[in-house]
Amino acid sequence: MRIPAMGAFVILLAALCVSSGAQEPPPDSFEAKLEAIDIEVRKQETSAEKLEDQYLALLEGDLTPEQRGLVYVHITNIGRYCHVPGDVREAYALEALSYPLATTDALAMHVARARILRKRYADWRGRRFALGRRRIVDAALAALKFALDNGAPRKRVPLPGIGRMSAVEPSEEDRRRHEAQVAARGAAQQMERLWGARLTMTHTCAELYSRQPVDPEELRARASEALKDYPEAVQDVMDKLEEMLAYRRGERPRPPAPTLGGEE
Amino acid sequence: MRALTALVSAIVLVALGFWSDAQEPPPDSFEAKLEAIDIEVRKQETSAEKLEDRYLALLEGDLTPEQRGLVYVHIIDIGRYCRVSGDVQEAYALEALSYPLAAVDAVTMHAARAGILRGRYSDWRGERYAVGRRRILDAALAGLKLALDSGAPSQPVALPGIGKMGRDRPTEEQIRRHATEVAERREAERLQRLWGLRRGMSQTCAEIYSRPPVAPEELRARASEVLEDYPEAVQDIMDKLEEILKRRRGE
Repeated sequence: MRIPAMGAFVILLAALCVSSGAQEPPPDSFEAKLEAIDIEVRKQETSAEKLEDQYLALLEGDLTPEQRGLVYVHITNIGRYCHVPGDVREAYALEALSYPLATTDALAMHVARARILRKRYADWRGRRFALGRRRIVDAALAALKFALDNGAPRKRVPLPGIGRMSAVEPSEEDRRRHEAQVAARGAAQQMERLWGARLTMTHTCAELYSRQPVDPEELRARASEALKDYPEAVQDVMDKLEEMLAYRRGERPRPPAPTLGGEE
Repeated sequence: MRALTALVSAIVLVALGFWSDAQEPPPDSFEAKLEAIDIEVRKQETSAEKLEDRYLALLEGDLTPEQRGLVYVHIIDIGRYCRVSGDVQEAYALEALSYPLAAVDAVTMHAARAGILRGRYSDWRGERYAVGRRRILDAALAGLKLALDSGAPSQPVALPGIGKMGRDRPTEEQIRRHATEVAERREAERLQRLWGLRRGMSQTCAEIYSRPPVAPEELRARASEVLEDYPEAVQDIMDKLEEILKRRRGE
């Protein structure tokens, strides 16, 4: 009895693997090697420099430009788990952006760059801050434009569910429906990231210009120039600034900072 | 006798002022204020922050975009005399470049940016350095291209002299010739500065690619792309790289 039960379990596992949308890449493939380092990164047990070296070693292989770009994206992302100096992250983000990237990866690099600059100039004050702020807002507006060019929605998109599929002998129809649901979910997740980046970068622009020296005219001028095809997005930035200024004047509670960003 | 000497001196001074090519700007003018702060900078007696604030205060006046750009160019110069962080200098260089600048000033800003990035990445090694080096190269090649577009020569320019002009009633012809000589001298000085900047940035490109990982192919590819109309300038960079590499090999 035990052997047939074991056999059925093995068949079930095999069927699950066959039916699964995300098939395991071969262990020697670029994807598998990248994933192995990603796991190391998330464990947070290895130093950032060693992880960086591991990723960089991948570049010695015969990679496509897309794969090379992906390596730099992953190196930039080490900074989400360990301390990596902003200069290093910025250099990798810019390097990644010089390669053809998937939309969400390129978005993440633009957003990362705006955040790095924001941190770099965080302690600046007065006229000097006004100057650094222009560099941050340029990066944030570039991220915002990229998100808008890729269809970032103004409102959050609900994520469609994925129905269960019979693991044992699913019909062709079941399989097709499942694949369509997975694809729809993937597309909605991308839209959610774009929406998140739009929200975050709008907030960043407004927050920067609500700090001294307050300068709504400059923000409107720069946003209108960078986002000339998106007047609604410019107005969102200006409305958010007005909210921030009302908060600073004590007229309303602090506007909540968005927790979702394109980098996530 | 003393009164006569004073009178003669006054006449000479007035004449000198009248015929001088570099006439003093009015003391309340933008140029005079800028010059006053420049003098403070060179004295090295005031802190970098205070000097920066004084330059920035000029921006509160009603300035043209060219004048605003010039203020930022001068702020960068503080770094030649006092310690200013690279982040601050880079922000000012980028800000200056967003205004219409004279070619020499714009090239100087690109060169300054390349220098700042070079300092920032100087401790990096291996592949990380290779990534940072591309950012330095982008800045240096942008400056080099602008220098070449503005006529930067490959060899130093001889500076023509300016002949003396009689201060006592110079003729129309003498005044015209003098003005031409001054203009020629200024143009030669401009070209001389562009030549210096061209040479400096070519050297920067070669030096950063002589460090490991040595990558002459990458340097040639990137330089050829940016300087596609200037094959001679690309070759100059490659020759400099070869020279450095030979020196390192003890050849």
